[in-house]
Amino acid sequence: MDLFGDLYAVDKAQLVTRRENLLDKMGLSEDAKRRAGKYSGGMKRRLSLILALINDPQIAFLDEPTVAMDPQSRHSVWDFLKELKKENKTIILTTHYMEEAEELCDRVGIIDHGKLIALGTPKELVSQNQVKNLEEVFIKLTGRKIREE
Amino acid sequence: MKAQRILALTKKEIKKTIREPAVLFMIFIFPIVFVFAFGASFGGVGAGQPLYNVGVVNLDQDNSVNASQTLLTALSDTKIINLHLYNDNQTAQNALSQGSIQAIMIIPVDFSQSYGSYQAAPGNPNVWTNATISLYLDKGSITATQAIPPIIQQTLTAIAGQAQQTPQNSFQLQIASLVNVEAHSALDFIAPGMFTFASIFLIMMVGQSFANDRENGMMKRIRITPTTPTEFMTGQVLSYMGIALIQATLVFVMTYALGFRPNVDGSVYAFAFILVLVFSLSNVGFGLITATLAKSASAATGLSFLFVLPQLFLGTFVGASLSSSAQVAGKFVPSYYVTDALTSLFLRGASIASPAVLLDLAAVSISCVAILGIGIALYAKYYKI
Repeated sequence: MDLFGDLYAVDKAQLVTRRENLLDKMGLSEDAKRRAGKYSGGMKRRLSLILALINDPQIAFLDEPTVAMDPQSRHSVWDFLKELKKENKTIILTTHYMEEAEELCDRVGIIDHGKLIALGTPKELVSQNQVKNLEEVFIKLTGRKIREE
Repeated sequence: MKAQRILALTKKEIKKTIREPAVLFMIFIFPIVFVFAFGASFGGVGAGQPLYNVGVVNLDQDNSVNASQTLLTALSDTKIINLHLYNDNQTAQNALSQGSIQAIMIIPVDFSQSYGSYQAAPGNPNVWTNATISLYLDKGSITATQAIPPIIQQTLTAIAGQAQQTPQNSFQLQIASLVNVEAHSALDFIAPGMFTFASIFLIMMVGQSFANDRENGMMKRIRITPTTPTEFMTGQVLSYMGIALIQATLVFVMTYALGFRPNVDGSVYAFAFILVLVFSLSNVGFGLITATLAKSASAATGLSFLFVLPQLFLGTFVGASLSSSAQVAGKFVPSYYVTDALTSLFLRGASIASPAVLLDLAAVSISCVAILGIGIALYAKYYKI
């Protein structure tokens, strides 16, 4: 965290505050002294999120930020991302969890085979496709056939 | 236990080995490089006997017998002594201090007279004119101190036509420069090379580190930050120079603790550390080349020996027993010049400003900057920094 803070030229005092804050929000304060190599997969994902946000960016690109996380971790990340939204940060995240997109996103784009096939608010997409939720929108638009990722 | 599973695992390992060039290197190329380097260093591969450079100051004045010429011809005929003639002792001493020659032989004015007196009455020491040949030896060369005196002594015995059992003749060999030699241990001879030796393993460290950073995604993460390639490389090089400095300090402390006490002042030590720092640049360069060639950190470990071994065997303390062909090969590795400069400073008593030391510094600086440049260029070509 300090390394990346320094690489982003974050002020030392600010870095300490930001680091402690992020550790607390991601639930890693108690494990801060442990080597990251010994972390579980979910903890590594949370640490990765901290590293991406250590410079307090206005826009953050998050690639499947909650993959391999237990439900508690996932919800703490969701809460944190909602806080960022309140701070008027722009977050662009990719996810395969439709409930995550529904919970967090103002606008959702569905990309299939590299093409954007749908774009709108979760409510708009649900209503346009006359289904119950985003997961059904996704399945309706991309098909039920299992495909190689 | 099922044989089918065992067979499948065996096939998998064989395939993995064949598909990983670095592992192949460790299995086949490394032993070849090792055997060659070891053989060249200790076995005199392709060179026969080593050649010793001996300076001669011939003060002999009796030309009627011209025994000095007979001696010089006999020494040349040994094929292991390469004679260099000097007009005066001072010029020869300068050449010795700069490492151009390994010994100086001073033939006294009465050598031929002594030779003649012995030939006239070999059995009557009372009528001999006794003469002493003085020998100055390079204290920094273990081969010089151990090999050259007996060769000259045997040649003197031979030209006198003296039987080996005869206890003496009219001229004696006196080792003039070994006044301080008894204070030099084997450690003294290898210590300069040890300073160089420690730094060489930076190659492996750098190779592993870069490959590791690639493997665990650290390089990708760093590239996302605003860090420029120049900042990144400068930070890396500085960190390894720092490591080299610590290594050199530890080696110095260890050698000092073991009794290495060269009679030099602080500026020479400071210069030695600067040399090691400059040398570390080449090791970072070789490490980057290793990381470029290696697909993984473990592969980098093996590949690094491609650069570690030549530097180790041709340019460090092993150099004391190098064959002449290996000595020539040694001039193509930077470590040779570092060890040579440190030997000149610590053991030959050369000053920092002496031509031999400055020449070594120039060779080290140019080669190291060039190797570092090649390393950075190669790495940047195949992987983004």
